[in-house]
Amino acid sequence: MKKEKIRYIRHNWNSYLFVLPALSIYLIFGLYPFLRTFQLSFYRWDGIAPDMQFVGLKNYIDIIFNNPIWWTSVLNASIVSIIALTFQNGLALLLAILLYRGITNGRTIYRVIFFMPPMLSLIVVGYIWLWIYDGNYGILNHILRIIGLGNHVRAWLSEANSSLISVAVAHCWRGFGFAFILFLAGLQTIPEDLYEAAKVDGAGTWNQFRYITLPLLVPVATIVSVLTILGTMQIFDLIMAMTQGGPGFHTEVPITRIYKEAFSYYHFGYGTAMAIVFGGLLLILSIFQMECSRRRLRR
Amino acid sequence: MVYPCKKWILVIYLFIMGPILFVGCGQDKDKEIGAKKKPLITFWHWWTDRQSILEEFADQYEEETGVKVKFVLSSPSGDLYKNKLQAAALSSTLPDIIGVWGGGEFLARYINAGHISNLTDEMEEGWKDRFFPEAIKRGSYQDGNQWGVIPGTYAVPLTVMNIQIFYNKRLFEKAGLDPMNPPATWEEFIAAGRKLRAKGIAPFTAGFGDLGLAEWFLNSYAWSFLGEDNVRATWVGERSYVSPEWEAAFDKFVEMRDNEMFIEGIAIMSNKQSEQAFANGLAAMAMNGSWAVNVYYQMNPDLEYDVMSFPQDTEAANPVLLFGGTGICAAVNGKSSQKLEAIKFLKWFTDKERQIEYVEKAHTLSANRNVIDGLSPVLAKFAKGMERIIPDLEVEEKNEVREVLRKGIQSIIIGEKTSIKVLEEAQRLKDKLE
Repeated sequence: MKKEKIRYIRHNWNSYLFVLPALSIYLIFGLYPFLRTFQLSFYRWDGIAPDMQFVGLKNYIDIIFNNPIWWTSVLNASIVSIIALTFQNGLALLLAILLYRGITNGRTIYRVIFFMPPMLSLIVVGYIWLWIYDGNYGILNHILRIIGLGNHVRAWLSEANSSLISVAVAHCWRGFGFAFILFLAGLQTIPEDLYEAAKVDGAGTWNQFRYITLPLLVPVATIVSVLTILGTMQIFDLIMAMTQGGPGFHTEVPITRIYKEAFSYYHFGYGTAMAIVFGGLLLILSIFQMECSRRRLRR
Repeated sequence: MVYPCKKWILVIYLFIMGPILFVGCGQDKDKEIGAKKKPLITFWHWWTDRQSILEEFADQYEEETGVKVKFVLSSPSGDLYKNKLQAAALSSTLPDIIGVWGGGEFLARYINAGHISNLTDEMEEGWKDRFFPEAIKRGSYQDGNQWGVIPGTYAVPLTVMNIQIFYNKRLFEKAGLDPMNPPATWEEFIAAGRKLRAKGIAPFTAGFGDLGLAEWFLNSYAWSFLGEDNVRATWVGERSYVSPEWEAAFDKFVEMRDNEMFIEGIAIMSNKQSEQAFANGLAAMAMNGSWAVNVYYQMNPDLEYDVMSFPQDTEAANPVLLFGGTGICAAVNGKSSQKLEAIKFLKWFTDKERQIEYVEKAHTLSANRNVIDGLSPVLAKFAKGMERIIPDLEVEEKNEVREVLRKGIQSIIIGEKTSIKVLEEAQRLKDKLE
């Protein structure tokens, strides 16, 4: 058995050679930083000093049981994720269906238009929306005044009850184009004859959507949902450009907490522990979601 | 046995991968040239408004001495610059001269890790005599400091600054206020705000989203209501935040909120946005530092403004002082091979002749105390303000508590929390940390 393995490797060494660069890059830039982060999470370290102090699980215990701001930030990111999962992906699906089955002219133009926001830098998107929401000269307030809704004018980003939703809207605007493209690709894989057969059997548009489009889109929807959750829970650039986590802690999210702990407060070890806890949360969420859709597919 | 065709694969592989794998082993071309021909001093900073001015000085220095100084604008903001320094410290790639803020916890961590040179000997040789004593003090650590730094001077002050209130003369006139007599007391300040608001003008702007400015505003009034001993006692944990004096200081934000003094969105406004608002005439008063003279000049050279001190609350036991001290400093990399050349350049750059030129071009306040003539009227007021700045206590509140206080100010501004609630939260956290 061992001899066979050695012979196999001797015959195929050149294949391994070509994998080596990618593997080295992964080990150096992927695996090593992860292991190092994991190691640092058990230390008290300021990120500058040559010495570190081993504290065992203290960082983890403090984050999980004694840090309400951390859990507020997780809750805020979850709210933005729920908004993105429902409104952003709902809109993306609706537009994809409209474009695939309804609109026949200028499809390419629509595709380009919808896919433009995801190509913009998040900082740029942040500044665009900062101007839109500005309480003094923002276009949103201007429009509200023009259409007679002047009593709804406000500083959108600096009020407790509108700041997080406003950031979520900007995030969805930027993200829906990506979901749209994935849904469109998914729709194109559904065989046309299924719809024709359904029509012959007397199925209307709603029933076609319910019994053909939706079930066959489950694999794509799963991917879109997982990517949406992962992308939204890790929201950072938009927050830094728009609110820096304020007012108060209303738009604080996990990555801004990790950033502030590690770089502003010199709690590097604590920040890495936060990153590990957060990574674990995301992993659990992703596995749960994948399992749910797998069960649904089996049914 | 290696088959002939596989040998060729190996040759092709090495031919392609060899250069890629070894490309990182090359030396920095600039450094190589610098090491062989003439010294090259690298100077990192984050001062976006004066890179071209600094480059002019670098050219001048090269002409005079043959030593090249490379100013590198390393980051668009101070916060990001800090991150870059942290990463560079870990990888031992800090430059020869590092633009820094004066002393405190930030610099102490780099000093303790051996990244910053102790400049005490050079300073004692007469170098320190050219600077404002307060500016030198901010870059120094005394015996028994809370960070355990070996006493000495570690940062060379380049500019000094303090925080005051800029006001737009034209908007004051529009609201029927006398631009020659700005509000001096808190009551006059609030009354002026009401008049401005009645004319549809936002009375006050500040970058309270950047948090530091909100804290500086608070500190001026905390000092006024509590005095030095009580502020120190609170920071070292011997006195509670939950006290009428701290509440009175926080209530300044409440009074301003209730009198509609704040520009819309001030709670999350960055200082850059606030500067734009003031420069474009959207707000009549702006809390900002002396550096803003140059910023406003670049944003709107025609802006007609003056500057006033923080208005005094007549019920406060002490005069209101200004946050200020060292503006920007330079530190010498403790591990640099060009330490002496770096110090020589800094001595050259901070001498009177160069600083007069620097002040003229950068519209700033020099840390060189011999450069006070010829300042613009506004800068002269800031220079005078240096006599009334909050003294350096060499004690700092914990970052976590400061965050709760700063975020608490935002919550007060948006009407979500009361002063006492913020103070209770801060005290609870302080008790927990201690």
